[in-house]
Amino acid sequence: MLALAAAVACQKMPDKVDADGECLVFTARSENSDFSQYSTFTVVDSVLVIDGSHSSYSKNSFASALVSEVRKMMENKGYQYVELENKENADLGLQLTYIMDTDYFTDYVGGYADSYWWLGYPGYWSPGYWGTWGGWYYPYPVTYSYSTHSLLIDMADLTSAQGEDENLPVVWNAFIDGDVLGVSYYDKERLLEGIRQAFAQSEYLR
Amino acid sequence: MKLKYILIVAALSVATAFTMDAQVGRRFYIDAGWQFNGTFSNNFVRNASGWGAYAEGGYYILPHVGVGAFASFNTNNEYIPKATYDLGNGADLTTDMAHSLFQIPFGAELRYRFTYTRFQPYVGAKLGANYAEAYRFMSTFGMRDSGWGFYVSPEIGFTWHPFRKSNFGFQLAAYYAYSTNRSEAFNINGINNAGFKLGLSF
Repeated sequence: MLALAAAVACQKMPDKVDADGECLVFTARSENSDFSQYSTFTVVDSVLVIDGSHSSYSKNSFASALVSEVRKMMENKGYQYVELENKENADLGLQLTYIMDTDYFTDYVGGYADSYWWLGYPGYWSPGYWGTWGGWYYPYPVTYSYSTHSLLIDMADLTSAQGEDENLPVVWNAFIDGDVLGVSYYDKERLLEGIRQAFAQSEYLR
Repeated sequence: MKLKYILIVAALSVATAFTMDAQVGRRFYIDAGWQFNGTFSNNFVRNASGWGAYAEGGYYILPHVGVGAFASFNTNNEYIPKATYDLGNGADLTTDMAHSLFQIPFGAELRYRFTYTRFQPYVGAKLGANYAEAYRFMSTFGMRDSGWGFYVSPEIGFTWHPFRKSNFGFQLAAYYAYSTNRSEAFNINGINNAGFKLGLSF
């Protein structure tokens, strides 16, 4: 046992400095959605920031840069921007969430995996923000858990049927994750590059 | 007269054998040192590194044939540059990542030495178990899987004992090893290793 412990102590883990330092970018979509059928979109004007058990909506320059980049990428894809106050005229609604820290993780609750833990997070975006939907719906599996300092982008289908008994489908989402360097400029640039990558690898958009 | 010659030859043979055996000292052996290991023909880590060590010991139950035990460890890491992966079901992932494979084989060994002089070339075979831990690191995420497998390893090398009245010496050997470790999570189905080791021999 002593020899085993000594061997384990000598284990050489990969060095983080060898990594490229760029963000991990995960995207998922509804395979039942035809993204060419949508023509307009709008995007929230603030970023929901989750920090532990607290959440708030941020409109600072950092958040605004992220929102602007999402809008730019959508326009580059050929979608037409609709002002947020006219969101009822948009086919797609995009919302951004930045998770600084979280007490919630993907977990097994009552024998099943609660993969969509963030939907129940205090202060999380309400489907009522976009219309009269009664809840959220992901028409595809989300099998990852979110870590600290990650950016989440949800794209909701605002053309779906509304009603208290209807759920608002999230037809595309992106998860952008990376170590925070602590320097606002570099962190923002890495997240902006992550946003660009999210749209680049989603060729099916438009 | 003939009997006299036979007795003389027999006596000389016995004396020679004892003398040769005395040159290498005791019949037991202990070897330990540094191990350079490469993994290949798998889908997880294909890289070589010197993050390893070994120790083995045994006893020559016959002048040429020894049995003993061994243990070693090695880490092999591989950096995979950024790429985009189609995960199926409409999901895509872009990231760089690092794979790490840590192995601790141990078990029994059989050794045949061709001579038992100061320079002792030998061939050997090891048989035992291999405990392996596999890791994947992506951004702030880490995944781990571990398991056991059977381990078999042929080896060829030599020990050299340069001092007349001491068993102290050096060892250099090359080996191949295969273990049956599997990991569904990381698509590992058997681990091929090859490498060499350099150490001290007592």
